[in-house]
Amino acid sequence: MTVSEYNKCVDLHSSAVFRFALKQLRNPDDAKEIVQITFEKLWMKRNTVNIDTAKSYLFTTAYHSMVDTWRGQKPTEDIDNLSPAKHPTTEASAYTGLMESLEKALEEISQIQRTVILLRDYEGYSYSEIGEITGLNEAQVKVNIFRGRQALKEIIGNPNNLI
Amino acid sequence: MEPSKISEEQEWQLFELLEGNLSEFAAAELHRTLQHDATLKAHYNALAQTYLKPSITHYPDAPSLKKQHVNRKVLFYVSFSAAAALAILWIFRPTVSTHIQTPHNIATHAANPSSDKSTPRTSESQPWTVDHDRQENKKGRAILAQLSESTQNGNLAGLKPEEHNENGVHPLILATEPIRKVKNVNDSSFRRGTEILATQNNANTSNKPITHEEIQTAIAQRTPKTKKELLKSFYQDARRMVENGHLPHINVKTVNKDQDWIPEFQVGLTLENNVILTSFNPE
Repeated sequence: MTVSEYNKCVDLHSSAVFRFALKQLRNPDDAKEIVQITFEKLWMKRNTVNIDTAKSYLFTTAYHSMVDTWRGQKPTEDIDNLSPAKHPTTEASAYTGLMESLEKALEEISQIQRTVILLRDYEGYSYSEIGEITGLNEAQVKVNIFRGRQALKEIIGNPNNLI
Repeated sequence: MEPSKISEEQEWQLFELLEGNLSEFAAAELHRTLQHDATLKAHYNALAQTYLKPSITHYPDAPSLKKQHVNRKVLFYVSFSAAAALAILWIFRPTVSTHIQTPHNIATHAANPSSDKSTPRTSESQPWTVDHDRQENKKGRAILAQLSESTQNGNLAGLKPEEHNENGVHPLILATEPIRKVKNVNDSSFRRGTEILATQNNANTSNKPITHEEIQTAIAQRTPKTKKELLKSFYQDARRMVENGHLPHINVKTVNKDQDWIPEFQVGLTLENNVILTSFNPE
């Protein structure tokens, strides 16, 4: 991968990786750190990673970096204690009531279910691609997506779960 | 109001439909069922709402992640310098023995050139023996030796190498010290000056002392050298240094002026004590 190709990857994928990390970590600073680590690793591996596989490499690296973060992290902060600044910095116009509920509901499901659903819905990855990133097989990916959606449906369907 | 429960199998069917995993026929069949089953339809709608729509998120620090291109101009200069240095080192690679010579013995040898031809040379019996027979170099070295003697002692007394060796400095370096003290001295120009005189005086060169003024006059009279002549004299200087037992340090310096594509480069020769003996600066 040349310098130009690397810079092109930054343009194409940095926001997507940031969004992926932000949805998982719910902290912009932590998400930025994950993005920096991820792209630094891509730069170090630029001789072995080509531009076609760069996106997959980025998401895999970001996911593993986040897993490392989760392992070294204290128990997840209660959602009620999160300050507004810690919420995702997405454009306000993109939200509807349902979307906001869904964003909150995402925080309630397990990390692996959230990861596979984010990769599926935001990035459009196939089951096998998600499996490569997360280290799961296709069947496990599918089951996790199914269970995650079931959980989201339950949370959204019962407004008391979001209060 | 929450819809009544449906079976796990029905949940999977709805999931497969929404994921697009069902065949066209199976999907149409399920859609027909949904039109007649309100409970199933409600679950279908609820599950459909769990699909996320990508939100617009911008990573603000993207420019800081980018890497700068390597300056190709700098890379070119470095490569060019390295290639030039290697080429020069190859050209000036030592091809003669490294027996140490002193101006004293050079002078003796030059004054009596036939003696070393008839006598077999060994480094043990004659440690200061000249190892090559180039006639033109003998003449030049003899002149240099005489010049050294006159500058060191102020007269024509012979130079004793042992005295200089006690200082730990090579006699040739000491002998050429006054010459090299001149700013931007081009040692070869002095020697060329002596060669000019040697050409003029020819037979008497090895015996007749040469004064500083004579050398200066000879240098002043010489015509400006072309690039080719400069390069040739540079080569001769370096070769002479090697033949005299010195290891010349060759410095190649590139000068980037006005952002030109091809850099101007300077090549210099230095002795062991980092004194510049020759510099070559083509314009």
